[in-house]
Amino acid sequence: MMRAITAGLAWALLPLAASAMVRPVEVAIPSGVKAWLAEDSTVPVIQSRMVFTRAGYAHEPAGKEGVSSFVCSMLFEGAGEYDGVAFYRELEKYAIEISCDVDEDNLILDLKTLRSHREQAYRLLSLMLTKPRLEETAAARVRGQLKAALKSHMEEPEYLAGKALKERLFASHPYHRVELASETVLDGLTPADAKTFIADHLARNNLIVSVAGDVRPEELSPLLESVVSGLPSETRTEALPEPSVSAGGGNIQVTQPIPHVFVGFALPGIRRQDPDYMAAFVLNHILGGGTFASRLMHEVRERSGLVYGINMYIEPMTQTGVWWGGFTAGAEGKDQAITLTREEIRKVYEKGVTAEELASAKRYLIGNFPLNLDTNAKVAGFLTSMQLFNLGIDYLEKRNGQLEAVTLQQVNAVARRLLDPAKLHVAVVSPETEKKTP
Amino acid sequence: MLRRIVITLAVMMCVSSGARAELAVETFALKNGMQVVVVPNHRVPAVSHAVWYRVGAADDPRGASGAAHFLEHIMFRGTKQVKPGEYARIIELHGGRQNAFTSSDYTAYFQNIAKEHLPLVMKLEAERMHGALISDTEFTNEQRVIAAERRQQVETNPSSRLREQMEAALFLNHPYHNPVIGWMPEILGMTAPTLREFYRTHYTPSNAILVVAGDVTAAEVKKLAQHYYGPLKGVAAPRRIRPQEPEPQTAREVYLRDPLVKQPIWSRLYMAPSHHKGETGDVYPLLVLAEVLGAERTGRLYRSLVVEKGVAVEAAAFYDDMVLDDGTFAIQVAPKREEDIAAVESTVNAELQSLATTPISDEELSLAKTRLIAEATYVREGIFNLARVVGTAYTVGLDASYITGWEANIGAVTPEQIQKAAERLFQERKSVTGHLLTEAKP
Repeated sequence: MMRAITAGLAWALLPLAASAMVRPVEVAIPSGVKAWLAEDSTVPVIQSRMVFTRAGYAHEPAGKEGVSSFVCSMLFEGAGEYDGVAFYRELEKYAIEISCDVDEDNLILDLKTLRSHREQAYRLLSLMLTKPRLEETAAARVRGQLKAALKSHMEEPEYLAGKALKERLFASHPYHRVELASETVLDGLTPADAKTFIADHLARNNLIVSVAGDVRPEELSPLLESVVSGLPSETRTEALPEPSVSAGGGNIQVTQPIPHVFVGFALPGIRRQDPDYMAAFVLNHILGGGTFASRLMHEVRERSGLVYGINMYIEPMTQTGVWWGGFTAGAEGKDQAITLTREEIRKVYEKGVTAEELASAKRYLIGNFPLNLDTNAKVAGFLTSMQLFNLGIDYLEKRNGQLEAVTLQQVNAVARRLLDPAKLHVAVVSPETEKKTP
Repeated sequence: MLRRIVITLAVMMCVSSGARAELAVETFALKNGMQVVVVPNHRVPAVSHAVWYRVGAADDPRGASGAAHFLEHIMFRGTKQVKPGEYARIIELHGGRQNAFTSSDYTAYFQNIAKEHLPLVMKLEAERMHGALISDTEFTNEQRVIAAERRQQVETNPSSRLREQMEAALFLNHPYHNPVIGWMPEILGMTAPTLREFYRTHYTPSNAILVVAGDVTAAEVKKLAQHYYGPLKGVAAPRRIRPQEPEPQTAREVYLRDPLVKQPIWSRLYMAPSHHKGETGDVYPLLVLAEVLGAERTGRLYRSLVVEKGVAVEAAAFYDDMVLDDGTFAIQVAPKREEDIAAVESTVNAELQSLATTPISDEELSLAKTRLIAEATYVREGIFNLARVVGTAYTVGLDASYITGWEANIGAVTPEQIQKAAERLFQERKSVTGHLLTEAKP
């Protein structure tokens, strides 16, 4: 019956050209940094993302774990002529939103401002990067906040599973770390540590800038120049070695007094620059891409009712990639859910996916693409990935073609390469310790 | 969907609802009573299409809490024309994303999709308005999913459990007492006939609002809406008869101790006015007040609790005005240590007292307004944010003037109005205080 409806509308299946909407240009800044800008004047708003590569928490000196998050907070606690509260009040006065975040590899600063307040916005950004006050009273407050954040994380089964899996996957490589390691280490962080980390990690040669919104290239260049000219030209941080990711598989039990069970799982993934990445990306969508049509959602939620949601995703990191997944289940259904998940992975590994599944996935991933680019923040984020992984400024024009070109053979080959169920690490967070999982 | 999530959303809307006066929101009604709202935005060639029903968890039948939310789930389990599971596949095949959400006051189904597929999603959603099957097999499966959802979102999360208990303590008679997802025994005791009856009663064109945002014009939407939704006939929309909340009499206090808790939380919930209940003139002053009190690093709570006294690490305030009946005003504080809770409570009380007795300064007022008004520009980015605010407004008995009048209404708030609103709101007898604590006591 439904066929009639879909067939009736097949005429309308025209893939949208994202390139028609977003055409980034490179903007040269006198101090040598190059920014990518996608102009759009739909609303008078400007969004910037500045990423300092090799400044994330895997790059923190040993014994100072957590210092990148510490720096992120300290940057807001007063700069130049403003003390902490005054600095925030300046942001508020002009409705400027700045946030700072870290991942394993990078320190990320996002700025959102009304076009009319752009001068003030970039001035404040420049002050926090080049003249942060880094006072001890603020440091004490920030340490308290980070410790509270760590405690909250320790209540989250997802976080505990991720931590256990990272330790298993990466052993002693710095990628085994989580954002905030221990209260004791956080207690020892000082303004001097923040100062050193900033001096060593925030420079012009490890900076990637992406901007989207209502600003002309000739307006943007001096605004950014005012920020980057005060930064040192060279960072002292080095690239991490490529990790050898544990492919041993196996189970990890994490005990936590929760009334139910969280199951996290992981496989060695694939780097963004790998020629097979696109095929793996499509494969992930078919297997567990988070939509209701994925194999895992179908088997474990729709058919069995064991979980509310289950998904998988590939996290591209600078030196590797990890294939993550997870779900919450009741104690009684947990084993069955793990078995079904493992079985679905095995089926894909052994038999591959069908041409029909591949065609549907491509249609979704291509048809859905414009929805990933409807806000300045999404565009700036996408431009950042393009720069981080050297995809080229014309990637938006090539992306759908590359997806379209993925063959069934490639997808099934990448399944064979990556989805060996024997390599699957499973972390079970539950109240009991003794029970063995299949 | 869970109240916790709905609350987050509502908070986002409180601070970010609205848009500039020149924003072109067009509305019209179909002959069968279905209301249509169009929000054009031509940035990308895509649309957000949503049908919002004026029915939510506060309309659940007695003894069947969670019915509205349960029905939302079962609506994906097949109709006369679409097999179970097919729906998601069709939308996905056309590059769309779809989902649904339920609050106390509304249930909404949305699809974000390339604009040329607007006829497809209209056809599917129109069919689903009258053709859902709610079969016994699908019902049983979905019951397990919803139990799993409740486990995942509430039972493994102590702060969600506390929030649920605080709301139950705040609302004695009004069904805001019940969580949107329902209480576990009633989820497990739900029956398919209850849902079928609920569906027949509430899912009818005159009880629905169609919101289409994105790369379309009102004329295009009108033509399509008349074609797909126009022919639907339905029973008259039921009157929303809600049990009424009596005037609160006593301060209430609840404690949740759980070995899972590592970071204690102190929170306070007040029964607040809304656009329809209590002192309705206090709504805009309270929106500004929530900023003055709870702004992330400059709000009075943060400054006194975290910066000056050092007894807390985070503090926030939220006012939820976008509800059909009584609103809520919430304060949340993460104390530095569990022993600091008494100091946190007395400091918060002093801050609230001061707001009720002394007008705020012009500087504070202007900072708060600037931010609230800028949010109206920020929310116009993208095609989905504004559509969501619009849909919420209409289902809670407001209209486009909530959005177009935002800047003027916020701009007109005076320090005296804020003081009056604070005086009326911050009364012990209207409050529930919640403690999330680390250790289980015998």
